[in-house]
Amino acid sequence: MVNLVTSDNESFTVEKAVASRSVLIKNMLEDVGESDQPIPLPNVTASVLKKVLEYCDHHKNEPMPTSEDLAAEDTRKRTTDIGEWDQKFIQVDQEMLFEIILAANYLDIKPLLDVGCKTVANMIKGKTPEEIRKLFNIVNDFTPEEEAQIKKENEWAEDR
Amino acid sequence: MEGMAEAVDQLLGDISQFLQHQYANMSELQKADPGGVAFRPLEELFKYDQISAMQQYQLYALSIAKRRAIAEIESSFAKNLRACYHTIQPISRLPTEVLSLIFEFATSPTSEETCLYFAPTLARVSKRWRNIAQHTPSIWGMIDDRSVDAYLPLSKGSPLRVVFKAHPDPDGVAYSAFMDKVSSTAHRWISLKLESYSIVSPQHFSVTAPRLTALYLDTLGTFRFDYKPGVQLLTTGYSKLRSLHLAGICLPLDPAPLFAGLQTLHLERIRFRSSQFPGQLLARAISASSELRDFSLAHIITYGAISQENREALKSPIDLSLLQTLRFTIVDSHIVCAILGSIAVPTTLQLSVDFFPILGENACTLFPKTNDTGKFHLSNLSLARSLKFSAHSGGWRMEAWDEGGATKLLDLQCTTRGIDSLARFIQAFGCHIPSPPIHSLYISGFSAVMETDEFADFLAQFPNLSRLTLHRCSSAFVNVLSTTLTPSRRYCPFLTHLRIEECHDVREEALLRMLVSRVRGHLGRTHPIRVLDIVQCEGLRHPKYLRKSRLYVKKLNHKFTDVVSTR
Repeated sequence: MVNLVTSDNESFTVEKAVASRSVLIKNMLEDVGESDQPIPLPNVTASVLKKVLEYCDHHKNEPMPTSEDLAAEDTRKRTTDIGEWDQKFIQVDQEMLFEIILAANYLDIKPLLDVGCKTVANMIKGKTPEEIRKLFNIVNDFTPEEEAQIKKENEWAEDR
Repeated sequence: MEGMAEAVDQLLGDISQFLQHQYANMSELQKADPGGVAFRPLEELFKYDQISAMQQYQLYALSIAKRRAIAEIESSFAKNLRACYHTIQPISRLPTEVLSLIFEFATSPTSEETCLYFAPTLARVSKRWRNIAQHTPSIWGMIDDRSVDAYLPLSKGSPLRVVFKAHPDPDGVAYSAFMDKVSSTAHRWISLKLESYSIVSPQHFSVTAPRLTALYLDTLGTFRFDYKPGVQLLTTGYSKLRSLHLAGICLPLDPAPLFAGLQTLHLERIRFRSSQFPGQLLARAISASSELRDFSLAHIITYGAISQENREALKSPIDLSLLQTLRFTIVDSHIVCAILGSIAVPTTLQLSVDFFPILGENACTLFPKTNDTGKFHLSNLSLARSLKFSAHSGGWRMEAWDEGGATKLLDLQCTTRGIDSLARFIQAFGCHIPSPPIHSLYISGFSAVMETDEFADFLAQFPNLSRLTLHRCSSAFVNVLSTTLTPSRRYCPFLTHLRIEECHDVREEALLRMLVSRVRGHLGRTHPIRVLDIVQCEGLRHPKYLRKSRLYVKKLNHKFTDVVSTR
């Protein structure tokens, strides 16, 4: 078993197979060897880690992506298909969604990072810049002149 | 006022005490303010006024304390502002590389067209998004004739998916101009899709694209590339090619090296000379493709005197165990038969044949027969549990599904005006297909195809039926169910669910007789019909004996909607 301590000082005891879905933790465990020392996760809060561990537990028996898999991603068509269980898992509010993505990125859990990024990608697909800004409360920081210039550059992409 | 002055004095005294504790003397203070920022505004005051060293020290210390307090407040304010900003804009917390990954997914299309121009949209959201988008080369890798000038410079060295879509270009000018721009990037192509109404200019095929995984070429007419020297795209070995779609493009003389490693292969509008034995040629060519999952042929024509290819299944067929779907759309029957006879049909294969018989051909000629039993060589049909036959004015269709209906094992569509075509096929079907235990049978429009006694013979081949649907059939077919196959056996003894749909001449009395006969017959192990669905039957529009009929079934569903009155 592995003991993980979150930024808000909550501790989680999980199976090694579950914790090792995170490449960061897996490498730490390999470096440290057998030890009862808790692993501090200063960038992850308890509520987020709970979700992340739920994902890791569900996928604990699946093979880890190999370096060849990651290398082949360049040429393979990236699809935004998400498995049924993952889809339900990732149905959370925007703030939690980004927290999960940040945690997956920090803990180096590539499949979870992909699920999060695909979810965000599916949210923005087919939307206009204005709709995307509205969706994520993004401020349009282009000056009117810059916007006019960009619009002109993209005239070719407008519907004919 | 006096009280306030006292309070100020008290406060200053406390600060002074605190400062003295922090900084014992002037040199300690100067260490805390190495740039002399706090001292500079006081210099003038110290120069002209009579201020004691102690007072100077206190003023100086206060100035430092003030500056520190302001810096702390500013820092705290900035921190709160940042937190507030992140709460309002959670996406702003994502690091560049994560946002870049999101952009890659957002521009990855399910079909090339859907997201072709989405990268510029991402670059118009905000300055940060624009910067990240412009530094993510992979999102600019979908090149077509509109995007080529904008995308190519931003795509840097990333893999390219090149598309040239058909549009009116009779002289091929647009096509040539486009190819001139992209041909120098061929080493980066991972997919190439060319669809042109004009004859594709062959010199552009002389590029080599070693990373190509998908190639889609569709031209008007038939382009005989093998007549032109220097055409390499189809003759150079593409070890990474996984998907190939050729329409109107002739195959190399030996297509096997091109097919090796393919997972998807579609060939369309290709003409063969009959002396080439195209069925066997194609079968030999795909024998190298052990990874093949989807194989389809459409509008494959043979010219010259039709020579008979092998119509018997080979003793050692080609192993294509990964093959999931095999589709033939208007392909000469001898080619279909030769291919089916040459491969070991996986039991889960989804076979689809769209057949247009010519010169007296019939659907039976599509399927090879085994040498020993003479039965059709279609091992996937052994998993069939559900069959559907439908005849209509333009031809007929046969479909077969596995248990649960998850996989359609066979979809045979025959376009013919001859009504005997289906009857002949059914006759052959009964003789040649190994009888799988069919549980569900759907029959539509059979009255024009066969007589009642022929239908009875046909029905006798399905002794395991538990569900039967008769659609647009004669009442005589329903009556078959109340007759006996042998003195001790009824037709379809295990039938429990009968659906009669749009069988307009069915009468209620006859239906009731049939239900009673299956309950009272006591022949063998005949099961009574438990569920009876009567749907849109004109003769049963106003039933009188429904209550009586219900005594003989568990559930009776009757539905008649007067289409005219409901409009």
